[in-house]
Amino acid sequence: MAHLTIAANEKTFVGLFQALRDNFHFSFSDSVDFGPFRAGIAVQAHLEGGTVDLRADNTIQVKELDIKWDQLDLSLGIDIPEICIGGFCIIPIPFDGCLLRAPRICVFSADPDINITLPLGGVITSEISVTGSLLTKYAVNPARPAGMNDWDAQDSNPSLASHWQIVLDPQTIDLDIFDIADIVGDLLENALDAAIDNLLGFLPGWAKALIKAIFGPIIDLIRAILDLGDDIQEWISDLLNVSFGLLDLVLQLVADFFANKNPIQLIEDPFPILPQAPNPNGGFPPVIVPVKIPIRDLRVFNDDVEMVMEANVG
Amino acid sequence: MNTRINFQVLNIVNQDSGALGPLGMAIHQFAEPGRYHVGVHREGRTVADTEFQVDADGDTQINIDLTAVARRNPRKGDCECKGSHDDVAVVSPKGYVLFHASGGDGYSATVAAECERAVFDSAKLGKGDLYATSLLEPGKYTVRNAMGTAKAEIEVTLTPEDAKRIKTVEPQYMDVKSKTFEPAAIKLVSSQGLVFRIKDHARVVIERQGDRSGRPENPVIQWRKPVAAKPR
Repeated sequence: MAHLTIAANEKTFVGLFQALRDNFHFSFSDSVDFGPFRAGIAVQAHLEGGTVDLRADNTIQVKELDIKWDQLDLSLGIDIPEICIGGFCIIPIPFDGCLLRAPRICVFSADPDINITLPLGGVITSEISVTGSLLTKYAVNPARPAGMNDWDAQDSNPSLASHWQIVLDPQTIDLDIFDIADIVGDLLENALDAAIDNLLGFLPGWAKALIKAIFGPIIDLIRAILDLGDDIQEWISDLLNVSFGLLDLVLQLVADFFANKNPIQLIEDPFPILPQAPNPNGGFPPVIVPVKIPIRDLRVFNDDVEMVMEANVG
Repeated sequence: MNTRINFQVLNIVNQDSGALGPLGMAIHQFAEPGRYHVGVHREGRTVADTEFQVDADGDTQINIDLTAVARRNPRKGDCECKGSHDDVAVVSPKGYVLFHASGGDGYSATVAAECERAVFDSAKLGKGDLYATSLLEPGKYTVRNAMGTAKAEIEVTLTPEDAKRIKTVEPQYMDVKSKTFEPAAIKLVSSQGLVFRIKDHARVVIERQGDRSGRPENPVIQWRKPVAAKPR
């Protein structure tokens, strides 16, 4: 039988989890060259919401944990073709082509390309579900010098004390494929239109209209360059998920965050059961050091009501 | 970002077949085989020369860019017509030579056979020649034959409906005689090809009417002399 048993009810456990969740911040940037266009992303995110359920099978389930994209900027650099006029057939050959053709005259080109940034943070939602179990780990502070005693380690600033860690070890993490709002198509078209307008800014209205007319509908041209297909949302989702591997990265970071980097609870070892106090007998020494007990064999488990820690002391 | 806009092309308003710029081109068919010498002129001054050959094995079309010739072969002294240019373009007697100027304006070309008689002058087009161009800026234009009395009207538009078909619209044709254009009026979409088929001697001059679209007048500050009060 364990010397020590401590239980935390589900509400307390949820509080511990929420503090952990609020500590999660993620930032990432990358770019990929696809040839006719380049794409880049800049991402910052944190976690919000989620329901925590202690389960009778000694697992914990976190559902509907929202990834809030503080920033999810998708940048596209697109090589647009030169715009030329002329090239018309002066003397056609009926049914057989053209005998005499006018030379082409190019009126507009941009090098290297047009650049647009789509702010997708507000139009993309993502949700995570985590199923895992509680584990204990023993962590010796790597900065602690060999031979340093436990009291000196505790008194150091920062503390160099060793700890038992209770971590949530994820077994499965499910992340919904990006849910992209319909307005992303409008966002893309408006951004491209504005970029073209910006390039043509000095021209009179009719010249802009002529160049845009030769371009063809902007979105059709850009669709062809980007190989966009009919479903812009799906294209963006594939770009973020497959080309940039954003979802895989998020999954990995979340798993690592819970399993390796951020314990739900830390327990100092040896555990101080009485704090440092003045010597009640007066004299020397003036201060009595904290009373600590070593924790051994720490074990953690849960049922559908509470999280339980058992340990031996001494 | 390095944006290149051909402002010269976008600012062309009036055009003249006898003073070629980037949009216009003069076309002639040279039926006799042989070597031909081209004098390139700009605003009446000879600036360069080049040559081409007419041969049964030649191409159906060769383009002579007068601007490029002027830059590449500036004339420094008297022309040596024979043997002065190697690697000349070769056109078929049934083919066409198209003279154009990719930059600048005021260009014309005269062509002589073997340094002898002139057989073509782009400033004075003759029967069978062609003058092709495009008009870009929407608006109304008059076109006249400067070597006769013929006149016609051209209207250029660029509506949203025009924009949808701009890439597929076919060129239109006008026949030019000394006294008439046929048809006498024509409507074009901006950048649509316009081909003048010359029936008599002609120099085709196109001029825009009225104010230019989208260009505000320069602001003017005016002072008026105060009206003195009349003595009672």
